[in-house]
Amino acid sequence: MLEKGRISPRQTGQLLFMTTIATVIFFAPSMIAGLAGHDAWLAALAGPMFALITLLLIIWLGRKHPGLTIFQYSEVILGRWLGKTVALLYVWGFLHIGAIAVREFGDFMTTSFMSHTPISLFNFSIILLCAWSVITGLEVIARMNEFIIILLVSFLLLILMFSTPNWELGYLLPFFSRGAMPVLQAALIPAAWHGNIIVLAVILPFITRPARAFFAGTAAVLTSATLLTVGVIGMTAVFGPELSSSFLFPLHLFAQTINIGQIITRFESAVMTIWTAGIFIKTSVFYYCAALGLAQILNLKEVRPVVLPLGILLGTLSISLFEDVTMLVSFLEKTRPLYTLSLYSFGLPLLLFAVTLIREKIFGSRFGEETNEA
Amino acid sequence: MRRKSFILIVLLTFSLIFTGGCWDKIEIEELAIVRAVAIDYLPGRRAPYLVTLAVKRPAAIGKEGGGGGGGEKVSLYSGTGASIELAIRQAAFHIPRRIFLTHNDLVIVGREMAEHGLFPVLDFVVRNPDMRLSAFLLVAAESGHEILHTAERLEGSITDEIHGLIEQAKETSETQPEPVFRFLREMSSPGEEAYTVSIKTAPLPKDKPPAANGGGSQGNGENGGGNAKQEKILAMNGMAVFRGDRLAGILNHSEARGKLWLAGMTTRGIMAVHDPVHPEKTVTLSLTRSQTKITPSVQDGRISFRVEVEAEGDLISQSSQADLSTPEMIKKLNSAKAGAIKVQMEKALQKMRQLETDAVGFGALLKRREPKTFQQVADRWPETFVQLPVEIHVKANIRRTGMQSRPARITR
Repeated sequence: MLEKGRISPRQTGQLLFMTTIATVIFFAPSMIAGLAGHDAWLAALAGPMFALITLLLIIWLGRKHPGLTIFQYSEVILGRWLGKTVALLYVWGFLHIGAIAVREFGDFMTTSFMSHTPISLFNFSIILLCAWSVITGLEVIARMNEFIIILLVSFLLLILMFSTPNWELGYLLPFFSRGAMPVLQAALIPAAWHGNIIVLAVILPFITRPARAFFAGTAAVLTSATLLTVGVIGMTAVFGPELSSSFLFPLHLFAQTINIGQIITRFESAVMTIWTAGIFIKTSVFYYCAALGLAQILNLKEVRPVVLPLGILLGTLSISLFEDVTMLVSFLEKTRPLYTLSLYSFGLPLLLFAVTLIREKIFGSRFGEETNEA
Repeated sequence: MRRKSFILIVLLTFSLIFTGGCWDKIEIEELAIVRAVAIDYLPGRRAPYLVTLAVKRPAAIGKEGGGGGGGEKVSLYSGTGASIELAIRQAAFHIPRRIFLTHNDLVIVGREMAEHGLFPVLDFVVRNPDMRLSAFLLVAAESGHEILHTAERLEGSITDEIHGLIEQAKETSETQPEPVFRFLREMSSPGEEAYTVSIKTAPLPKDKPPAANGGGSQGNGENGGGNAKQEKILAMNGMAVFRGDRLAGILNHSEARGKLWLAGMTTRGIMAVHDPVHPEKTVTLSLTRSQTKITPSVQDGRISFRVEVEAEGDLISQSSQADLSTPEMIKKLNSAKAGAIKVQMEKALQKMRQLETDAVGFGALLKRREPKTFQQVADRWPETFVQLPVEIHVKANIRRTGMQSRPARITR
């Protein structure tokens, strides 16, 4: 066994919540508002639909193959070479999403706070920290997250609460002013983030009570969607749809507008705290998944040897993936929903599901029994 | 084990160099903390932007013995340029410190700038990570440069003076200062136009005894300029209303109050009506709370608005000796007050129609209630708005009469 630690269903839910909310609340609101206008919050609310389907697929596959990660059971289902290919695709996917998160972190820091510091400094320092947490294992990440989640959620709620004097709820009306299509289209953007639930396919075997995994996943998806919706409502109410769609980091400017009697102001520092802590957990989780996946594909005894090479890959990817911030944003807005949904969160799990069904029903293969005690 | 701890000690010692925060240190003594930015537009120049920065003067501790006033004073620096940033760069040639904009919470634009279009100013404020969206936007009646060059009279610095003035004007329902983000929101939403407070310099009222003037300049000590500056003081100038990002016009005080009634933003303040018994005399009333409701309606494709205002207040003074404390008189006062409020609202409406700007946001309300109807007129909303009927109903209540019910009769 590569991972000796075990995490509780509650910790699982918290990890899944974090991998979504940490970045979605920073980038998605302006993109959603750009597509859906007044109805941005409806799109944010509709976002998790896809994630729940993904969740069902993952849980179903996990029940068939208890104790195995997605890297392992794809090999069981699809055979050695095809299975390893799919597993490698997932390693790449986790690496890619992780690298994007690191890049988002670097871009935010250099844009908003330290414009003269090279982005590689931010990227590599957070990767170094994440590498450490990956080596220490899943259990440590999950426990760390228990603390960070309190920080992040309470700061987010504080920011939302203190901004309410600026809210002008009339900007949410009228509903469906542009019809339902733009709303659905916009819902794909948060759906791409909620698709991160695929992480559960890797950490499922390490949960103390796997039966509770479905509940944990659902709770994570629904709470992150609710928080995002409240955030989008707040941003629309403070900025109006047109203005908020023009911002690069809407939450940052949202925090700037807080001014209660000239005393409670400057919540940007809280935003930076949330951002750094959230990105740290999110990157750690994806980095961990990629490292564990690679180790399992190569049949290694421990994760340690692949951590450093993957970290270097993560760092170089985070810098070389995008030339500039406009490329990053257009990727997040246009390419990413289709890319992650069709491949990692939806396409590949569906493929595994379909092949399992076909093999069971048509060829009479049986899954689950022989790996029961693994 | 020993080797491991040795490496750890070396690493930790080494990290002290980087984690101590000394790498990119910005000492507060090296910053020029900007408290207000005034941006003017000089048409016809190659470098049309004139930017004036009010930089907080560092407290001269122990250096100068005398000198009145506090350490809150500001120094003013100006520069011109083809863009706002270039103008700031030019101003920086005279500033021995690094310009620090994060504590700036006043953006004053000159009239020419506002008429030319505020877009460059707003772009500068939003895009620059140091500028804050909660900063107040002010429109100067003439130039912003002149506003900042006015000498303070009561507060430690001119920026504090401006803050106090706009805060007081808001408290007394004379006008409404808008932070940049609200201005941007109104500007970018269909069916409404942005507005904000306007400020001007005015000559010192002549009826003041000259001694007060001289005393003021003495109190300011050696703060340059001297008496020449003292002759002008800051004053509120009503409300600047915009069409898009361009200044459409300025509402005077009573029109600004009318606009606040229409928008339901009046809080406190006073107003005067004619005495019901002796029409040449005045009764002064206070405003305590009020509520405004605007209902758009569409009948056979014709749009109209109904504005209902409920205003409460007290009687605070009367200049005649008539007994106004009877229910009948209060009723008459109520209707007089309602009439006065209605006149103010109509004046504001008339001015906004004349300027073709919907600063109240009638269009936005229509859009929320009747999105389809609004869609048809959205492209030419300002022209449409000008012709739409607005029905105004005011209900005024005078609740209390102060510490006295009726004046005591004066015996001769």
